[in-house]
Amino acid sequence: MLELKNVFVTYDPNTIFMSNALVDISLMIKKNESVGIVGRIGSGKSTLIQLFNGLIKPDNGAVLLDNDDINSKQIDIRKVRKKVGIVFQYPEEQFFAETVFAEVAFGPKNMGMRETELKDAVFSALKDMGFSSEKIAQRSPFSLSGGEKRRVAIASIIAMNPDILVLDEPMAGMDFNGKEKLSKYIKNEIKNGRTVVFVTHNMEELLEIADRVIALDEGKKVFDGRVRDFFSDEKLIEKIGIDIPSVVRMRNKLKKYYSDIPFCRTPLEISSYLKKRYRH
Amino acid sequence: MRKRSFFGQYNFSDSLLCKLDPRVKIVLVFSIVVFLFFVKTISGYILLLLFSIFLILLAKSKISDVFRSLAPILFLLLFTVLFQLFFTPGKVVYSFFFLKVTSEGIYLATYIAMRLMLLSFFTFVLTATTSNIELTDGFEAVISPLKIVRFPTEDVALMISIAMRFVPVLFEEATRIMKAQTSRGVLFNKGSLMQRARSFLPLLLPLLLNAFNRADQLAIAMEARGFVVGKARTKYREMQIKKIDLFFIFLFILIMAASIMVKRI
Amino acid sequence: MIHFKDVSFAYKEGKWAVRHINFTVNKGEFVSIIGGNGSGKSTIARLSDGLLLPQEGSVFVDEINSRAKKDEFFIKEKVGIVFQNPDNQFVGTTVEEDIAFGLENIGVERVEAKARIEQISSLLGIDKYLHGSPSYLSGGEKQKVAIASVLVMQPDYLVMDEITALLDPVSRKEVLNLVHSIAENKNIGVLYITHITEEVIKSDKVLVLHKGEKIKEGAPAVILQDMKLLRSAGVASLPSVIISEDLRKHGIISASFVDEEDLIGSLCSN
Repeated sequence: MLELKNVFVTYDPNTIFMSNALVDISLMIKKNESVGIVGRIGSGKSTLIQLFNGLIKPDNGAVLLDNDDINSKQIDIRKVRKKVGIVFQYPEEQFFAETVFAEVAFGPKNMGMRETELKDAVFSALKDMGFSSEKIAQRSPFSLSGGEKRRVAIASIIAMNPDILVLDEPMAGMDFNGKEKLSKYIKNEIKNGRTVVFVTHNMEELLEIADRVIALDEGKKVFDGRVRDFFSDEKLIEKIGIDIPSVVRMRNKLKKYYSDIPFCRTPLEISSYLKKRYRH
Repeated sequence: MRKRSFFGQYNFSDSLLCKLDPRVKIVLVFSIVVFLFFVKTISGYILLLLFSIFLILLAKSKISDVFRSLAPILFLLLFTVLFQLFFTPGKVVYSFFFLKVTSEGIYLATYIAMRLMLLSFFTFVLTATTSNIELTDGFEAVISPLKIVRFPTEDVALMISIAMRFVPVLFEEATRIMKAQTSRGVLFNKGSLMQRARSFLPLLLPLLLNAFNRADQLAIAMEARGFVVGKARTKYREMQIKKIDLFFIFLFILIMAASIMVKRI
Repeated sequence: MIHFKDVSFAYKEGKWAVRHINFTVNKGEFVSIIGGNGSGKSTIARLSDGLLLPQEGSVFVDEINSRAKKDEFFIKEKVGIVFQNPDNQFVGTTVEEDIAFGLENIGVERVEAKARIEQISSLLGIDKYLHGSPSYLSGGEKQKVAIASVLVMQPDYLVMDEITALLDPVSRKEVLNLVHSIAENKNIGVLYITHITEEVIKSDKVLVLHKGEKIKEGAPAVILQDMKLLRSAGVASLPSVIISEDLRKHGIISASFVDEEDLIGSLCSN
């Protein structure tokens, strides 16, 4: 379980690193949740997730992992980073190894995993990301297609078997097929009991993957709750500059005529409601 | 994370020095730096020191920034000063165990310290009042006589300015990759020298590959906008020598002359 | 007119990136190409600007063949191209400087260059950034600078190679609307390349690309209703079409709708 208690992060506006301030953030991420973090550029999303494994230290407040302060001196920060695995934006840009195997094994090896377990960890992570044949492990990571690269990069974090998988814009720059596959595998991770936290601009992804939304605006937490409640608060959505996905928009318009239409995540949920309506 | 203070980082202000022609500034600073080695008297150096402080004030820079810019050469400065102080043969004025301070040593050490300090003060004024573009433009103009020997001065200047453009981009990228690899268990500042060196491979390799990739895309984008290596281009930015430039040229010559003459008066 | 006449291109021998491509983009026309990764979209972008030359067939820009060496500049001036990643197409250290780069290359004198830059930057709403570094702008603003630096060369055609792929949905819409309004006001022909289905709705015509081949060309309304076609090309279908196709199969409505409002209107009228 990950908990942030009254966390503040300040920054120098002139810094070329463009990190963003956070103001009094408290939140809790429980086991087996899937949480989407949203907000416009510069709202502090990236800063927030970097607090999760100690890449950024809060100026005030505490980050607790299983009730231990991760920034205290007694804590082995590597153990924290093993438990909280962060996949950065465009993770395939970090590739450096000769083979997919070496690339995926890099993290767990650094975490001190033994050779005997390593092989299993790598292959099971690759399998999680949809690579069924072991042939892929001997290929160069640079020779893969864009979608495959992304999945290998995510596998390289999953191989450390983190309790919490944190993804920064996992679908950025991918095409429809790539997104469809990746979202299937991420949903599988959630189903298999992994906690998943992801940052996204894309509300369709949010609808598809997340149960809970944390919204940030100018470094403050402005929403924390269920996805359906988030999308019913149109004023808030407009304020934080988010694009309402068309499924939600259509459902909200239909609600004026069909007052009992439930919250819908996909177009087919809308049409199956309508079909039921028309049958009666 | 604080802003890194690069060697006299350019700070746009309405200072008079910002309005000077970059070519003039480059030539003046270059000549005064060379000139430093011909000044032989302490009073000459004091005059130049006062002049450099005058310029720093004129540039509207903070004195603290100036000293911060000294930081990278501080070690060099200390080392040479101490070396000269203790290891110059001559008349001993003070001894401390085996170390002997000679009057010649004090003399040399003071001179070297003065020269290095003045050198960095003058370059500070140049870089603090001249943007990267102006610097490259000025540099291009200053080396333009090399065109006679077919040296591609324009392309070299363009190359330098593109390289400068990419510094913040690469910096940002390096930070991102470093954080990503840290998340995969790399500890960049722990372990033996060998381990540290090895931990830089996962940072350096991706950084290089991305840089090549960027360079490739940039080359295509430049070609698409009609760029051809070696083809004549018009110049968008204008450099013009104004009255104020002439005034500073005159002032520099005056100060240089005075600092040589000062003892004889 | 940009005219692709039976164009094929391979980066490596025997491995065609695009094959037998035919289409035209007229001045003032907005043509979209949609397809998934590896469908050959970017290759077409580069072929239309003379950055790549076809091995088979020909690309003509206003009747000039892109292979004609002496007219290379003619094509680069007529056709402007904007790429996916704005960070990799900036040359200048300031926005103004960057917009000026193309003008310096084609020999535009200072006074005229200055006037053109002022005009274009205020048109695109980036005049307030002129003296700043492009590195510190947001993605959407960066793409506006990239568009400005091409537009300032006064091209007759614009090729947009997935220019919104790295943007957030809000700036994506903003940039797309901008391109539409520019194309209309300046009577420019646009070749808009994308993998995002909803971006092609307002086009004059749409080409569907798959594995280097054009598998369909038509009006957006026709293309977007063909869910099977889009699926095989690896691109998403619009939610409005998915709903209406499902309802049509069950006889609840009689036609498919691309436009959300039309769908809702038809559902709520009866």
